[in-house]
Amino acid sequence: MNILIQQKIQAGFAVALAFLLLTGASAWWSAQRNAETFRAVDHTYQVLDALEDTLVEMLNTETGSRGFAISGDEAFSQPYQTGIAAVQKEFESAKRLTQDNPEQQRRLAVLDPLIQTKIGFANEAVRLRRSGDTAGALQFIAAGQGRQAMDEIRKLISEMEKEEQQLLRQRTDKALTATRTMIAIVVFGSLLSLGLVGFARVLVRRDFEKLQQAEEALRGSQRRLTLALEAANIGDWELNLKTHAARRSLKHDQIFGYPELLPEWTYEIFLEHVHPEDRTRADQTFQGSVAAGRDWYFECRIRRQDGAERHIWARGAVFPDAAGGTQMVGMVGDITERKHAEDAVRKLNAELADANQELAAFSYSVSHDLRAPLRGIDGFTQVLEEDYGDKLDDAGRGHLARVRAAAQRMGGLIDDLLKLSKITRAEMQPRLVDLSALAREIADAWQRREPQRQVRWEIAGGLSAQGDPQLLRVALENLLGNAWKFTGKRADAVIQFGRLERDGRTVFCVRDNGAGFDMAYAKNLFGAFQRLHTTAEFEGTGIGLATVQRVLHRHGGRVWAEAGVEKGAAFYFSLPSETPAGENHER
Amino acid sequence: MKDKTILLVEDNPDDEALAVRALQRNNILNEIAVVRDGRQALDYLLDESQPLPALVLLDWKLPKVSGIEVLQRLRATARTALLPVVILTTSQEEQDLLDGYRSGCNSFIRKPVDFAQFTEAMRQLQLYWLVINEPPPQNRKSQ
Repeated sequence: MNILIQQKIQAGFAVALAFLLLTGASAWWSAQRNAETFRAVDHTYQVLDALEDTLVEMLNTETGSRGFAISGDEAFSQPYQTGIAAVQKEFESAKRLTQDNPEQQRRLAVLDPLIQTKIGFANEAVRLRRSGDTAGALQFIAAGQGRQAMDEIRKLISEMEKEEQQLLRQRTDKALTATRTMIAIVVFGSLLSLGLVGFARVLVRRDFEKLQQAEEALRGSQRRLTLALEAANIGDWELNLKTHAARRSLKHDQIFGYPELLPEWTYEIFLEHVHPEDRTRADQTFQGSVAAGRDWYFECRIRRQDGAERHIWARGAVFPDAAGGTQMVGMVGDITERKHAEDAVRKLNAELADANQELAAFSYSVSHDLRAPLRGIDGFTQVLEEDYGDKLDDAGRGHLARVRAAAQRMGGLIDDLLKLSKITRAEMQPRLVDLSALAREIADAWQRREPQRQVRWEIAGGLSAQGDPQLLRVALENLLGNAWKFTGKRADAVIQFGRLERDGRTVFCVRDNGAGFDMAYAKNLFGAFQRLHTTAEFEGTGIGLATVQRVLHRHGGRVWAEAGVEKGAAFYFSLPSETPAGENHER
Repeated sequence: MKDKTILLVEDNPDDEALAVRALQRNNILNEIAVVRDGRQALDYLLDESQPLPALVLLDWKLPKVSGIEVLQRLRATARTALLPVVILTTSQEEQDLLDGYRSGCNSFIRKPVDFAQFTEAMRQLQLYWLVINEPPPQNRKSQ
């Protein structure tokens, strides 16, 4: 940008200078022309003078000769003599001065004989008088030949004077114009030059403004950088690789525990603060990178001035400086809190893993140990019934039946609980799942299991969602299984599975026209082992919907229901759509 | 028809009583031998002087030597490598199923709580393994 400004200034001044020179040259040339013109004007005046004098001397001659002819006074002969000489002289003068004017030369050529003639007449008059012939002289004069010649001379000279006057006017005009032109050139040229200078100034100022803005922006950037470093608790530093002396920000020294900037700081001082166990590694990393001209980064522990142990990260970058050497700049940040948080997270994760493992072990033992006594209860009750049943009455046998039923029911509950816990623990493997295909599989399976049932399935095509295929299968099996079960008493059972928009989101829906339920009790619907029907009406443990809810929650979705008694039920569930569920970063 | 012995490996006395009863009810004449832990099972099966049973019903959770260890030992020993072993257990843990089949069991049965079901399962089991199924030749040779 600087170069550009310089060039512009130079160019601007060069142009202005050129214009001034041009103006000067024009003015000088104009002045030359002016001088010529004025000389021409002066020349014309000279011609006029000569002509006028010619006439005057001619008249003098005439007057002298007539006077002498009339009075015989010698006093008149002098003007007559001098006149003749003067006329010649002036005539020659006029002739000389109008050399360049052919028209005037022609007239002068005509004038010459006329003058000679007139002089001849004057001479004759004087001769006559001198010879004593006064009457002859007077008669000669009265004859008017002299007067006639004089008139013609006058006329001719008048013509010549007119011509010269015209010439004079022309040249005067020309002189005036020339002068005006010169003035105009000077004025215009000067204005133009001024204009150019002004224009150049404007351009330069614009560039200067831009430069200023750039400087301002840079200052602003620096301010923001400083603020950012301050806010992030990052200290920055510059290290001179020759002297090992470092310039630092206040924050840098504060990180090492000094409230004010130390008067000096070197790499060695830095190393002293590093924890002894980390010192070698840090030093090796640093030296290695310096040798290779590479940037470096490491984390280590330091001991602050007050003895406190902190974790820091430090990074540096090398690059060539203006003087041809290498300079290193870098930053250092205190990450003690972060490290502690990371450790806490690691510990928590470990605890979580442990807890999960314990849970898994617990489930495992449950699956073995809790069921074994149940087998005993059921089994020996049956033995009792078989071996001693005849010794019991109906009531007794009824009791035994209830014991067995209770034991089997407990077995079922245990199984359901185990399944539910598996769903909570299982690792999710999200994929795009074809829900339509899944639903059709499940529907077909139910139909095969109970082929006598007449159920119309309306499963929409193209239903898909992002989620774990196994878990979603479990959820759909439960929902569709419920629909199948609760339409069991309908001859015209219809089960629908489709999709609709609610509040701008995609929601799936399993709907049936079966027994439904009373919405008043809906809040218990998804609780574990909660049922809204008795086992006599419809069998089941009440774990199905709890399982569905657990699956949906793991996917970050929701499930809810609407129903009416004997009006069927609709179960809606939402899955976060095509974008992967938040579960991903659990893995 | 030679009497085919069934070896029942079961530590729980209740389960044992019920299993024996179920097996006996089905009128398929078999001798039923019972051992109560993994150690005893191995001793019985690896005893060269004893004939091998036709079928082993192996519980998974056993004291001393566990079910899977027993199975692995059996499969590792030439004498018992092909011996039909049916695992009887409550667990339906996928890991147990994998371990069982990987270790070479012939079948995996989950014991139901319902005794009637269990009896029926035992009947079908006996029918299949002792009547329908052709045992591996090695069995006859050892007998």
